Amino acid sequence: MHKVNQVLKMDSDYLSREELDAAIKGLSDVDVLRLKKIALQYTGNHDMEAEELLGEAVLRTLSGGRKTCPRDLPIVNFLAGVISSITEYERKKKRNSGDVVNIDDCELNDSGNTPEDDVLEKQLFKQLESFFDEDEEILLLLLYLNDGFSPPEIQHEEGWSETQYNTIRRRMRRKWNSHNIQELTS
Amino acid sequence: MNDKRRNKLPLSVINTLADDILNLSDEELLQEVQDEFDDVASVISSARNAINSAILKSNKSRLSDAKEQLEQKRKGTNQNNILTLTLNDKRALIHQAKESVHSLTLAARNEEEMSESDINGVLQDLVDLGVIDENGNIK
Repeated sequence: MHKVNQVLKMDSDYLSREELDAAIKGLSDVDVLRLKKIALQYTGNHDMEAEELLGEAVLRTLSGGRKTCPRDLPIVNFLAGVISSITEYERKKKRNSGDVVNIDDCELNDSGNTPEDDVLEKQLFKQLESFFDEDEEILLLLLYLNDGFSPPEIQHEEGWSETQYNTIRRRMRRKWNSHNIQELTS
Repeated sequence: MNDKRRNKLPLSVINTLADDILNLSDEELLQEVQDEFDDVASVISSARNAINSAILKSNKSRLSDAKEQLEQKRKGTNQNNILTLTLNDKRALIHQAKESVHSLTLAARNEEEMSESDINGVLQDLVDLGVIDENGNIK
């Protein structure tokens, strides 16, 4: 996630274990709901349920080394980054546990993906493009994401303002989640 | 909302959607949550339970690590007690142990001929066997 990518800093630039503990215990109801929604967004890519994922993110954060959460990053954003990392790890582990491909036997590309990962990602992007085929802006956004562009790069390439980018991104999330809820309840 | 939605999305797309959730104002977030869940209080409660369980698990793990470190430190300190004795005292201690435990058979029977390194090894063995304690007392 682009918001949690940080340049390496000194120890004092990071929350201590005690400060992390206090920050997590001090999460407001809105913070908790935000984390729950984020965890829900990530479920479906591995076997962990939203609350299990959230608990694991807290556990890994509190069990981490000295340089864990930068002081200038809100704890909710940091935990969202940990949830993303766990998801990536679990997804690869799940693929690795299948009989089709052993990750250890595969050559990794620059992004750390195996050829199998790349094929699956491409398939998922194709399905998404089909789902959003009537929304040209979302299709463009997906194309850039598929090519690994960052939000500022996408905005620069398309001449979108940050607000325009955020609006397209929100539309994509709401359409996708709405579709998934309907599918589950129908 | 059902927690078990099984949407398959590329990670870069999920990260983008998660960024959007981070970007929601508190009011927008609350509105969405109220639209999605019947019982918001229950959602908060179950998520907090998951967080608190993780905190508790982490604290237990830290306590266990601290206990283990303390035990290691105690062992190290106690081992040092016996190894800081003078060479003559060490020899005397081995002699005393042999005298008090008749069934004890030492590979090197004559402690006078043993090097300090050998003596230290024998003393450690005697501690491990429970013949003497870490402070050099015959048990």
